[in-house]
Amino acid sequence: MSKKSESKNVDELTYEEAFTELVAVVEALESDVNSLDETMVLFERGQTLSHRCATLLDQAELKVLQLSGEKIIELDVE
Amino acid sequence: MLSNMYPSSYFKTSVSLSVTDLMRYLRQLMESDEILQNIWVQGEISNLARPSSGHIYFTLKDAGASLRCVVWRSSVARLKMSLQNGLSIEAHGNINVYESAGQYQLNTDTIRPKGEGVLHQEFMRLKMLLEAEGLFDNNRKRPIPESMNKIGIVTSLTGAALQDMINTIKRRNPMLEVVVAGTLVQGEGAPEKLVESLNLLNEIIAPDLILLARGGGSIEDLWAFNDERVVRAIVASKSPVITGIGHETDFTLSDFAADLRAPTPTAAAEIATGLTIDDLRSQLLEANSLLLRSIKVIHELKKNETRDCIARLQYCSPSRRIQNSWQGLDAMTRRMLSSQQHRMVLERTRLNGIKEHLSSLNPLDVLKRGYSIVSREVDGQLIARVDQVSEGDNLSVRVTNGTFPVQVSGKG
Repeated sequence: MSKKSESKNVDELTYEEAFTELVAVVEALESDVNSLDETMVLFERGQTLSHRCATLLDQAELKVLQLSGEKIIELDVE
Repeated sequence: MLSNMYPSSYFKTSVSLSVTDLMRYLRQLMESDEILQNIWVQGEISNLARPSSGHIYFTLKDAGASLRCVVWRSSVARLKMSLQNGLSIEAHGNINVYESAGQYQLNTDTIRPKGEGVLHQEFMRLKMLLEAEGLFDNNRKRPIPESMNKIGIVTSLTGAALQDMINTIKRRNPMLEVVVAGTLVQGEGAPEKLVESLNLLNEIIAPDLILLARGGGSIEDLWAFNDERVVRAIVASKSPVITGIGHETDFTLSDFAADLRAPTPTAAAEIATGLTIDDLRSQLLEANSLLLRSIKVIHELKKNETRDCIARLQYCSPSRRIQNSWQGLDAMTRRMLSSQQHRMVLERTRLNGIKEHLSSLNPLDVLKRGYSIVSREVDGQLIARVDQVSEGDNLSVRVTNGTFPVQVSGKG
């Protein structure tokens, strides 16, 4: 797991970033080379990530944009 | 009819007509002719011009003659096919006069390919050509990504296809972002717009996937998707392309060039959302239970390790050593005692032996047989010989049960 994503605020992660890190946390926990303190930190991080993912899933609302020439605008149909 | 507008006397005079008058007369003549006002003309397109005004000019010609044609901007949008020089077509419209140039022309409102099967022939010709070039090869096709964030859609902004696709994607995976590049999907200029939209999406958005779609229509309606330029733009696209053009039975060259062909626009949207939000939910659930299980396993492991350590610690504790020492001491004591007892028994046996031996040597035993021990009273000396005594000596005689005194009365 990279230091960078660890330092990143979970609320700023995209679903994909959060989920990828969650999987990495699980793998790190399963590898069993961490101290108990480290595993507790990892576990808490995992729970926060999982919560972030669930929130994003619940709040999901399809974003539809339109490419107008070279500009990106809100989709304007009808 | 003419006489209503121009009295016959007007033409019979020797006065010359102005050019304008003649042109106006010719125009009225043509415009009043039913055949010229509703006519199909066939020929080959040449001198095709598309000025910025939006009108299209070309010449329709055959081996013997040529005819100027114009498609006004208002009709351009309704054309069902794309025009190119050299294309054999049938054009419909009416003949009128362009007075200022002194020319007559066909005001064209409808254009169709010439002859039955021409479209099909053109389709087969182009298909073979592009196939031979390897543009439809399977090994050229890009894989459709399993998960994605951004989907580009190239279709008409006004068609039902777009709404169908957006609804499908919204229902199946609202986590996605959709960027629509609107385009013409049929008629004059459609291939150019399709190519432009595909290229712009690639350059500006670079989506994970592009859906190229159009609702159902006639073979002419779908013709833009058989355009060689569109096919090449699909092949050149950096993002994988899924086509959903027309109905299930419609096949266009774009479908052959695409990385995947879906039978309809909605089906294309479904394929694009192969990973639905429900799939994401179950993935998350699984990761969650793995997370909980792994922490449980770790706790169990650490607990066991700790329990092990405590056991080992207890094993090493001094109290145990003291116990051990006690035990050792006890054992030693026991051994000591038992060896002592053994020794005692041994000694006792030996002692008894000696005792017996000793008693066999006891002189008193001899007395029992009638012997006696005689000693001088004065000094206690035992008398074994005659010369040891003198007459009158007081002696003591010991027998088994005591002593008694005697006096030597004489020597024999």
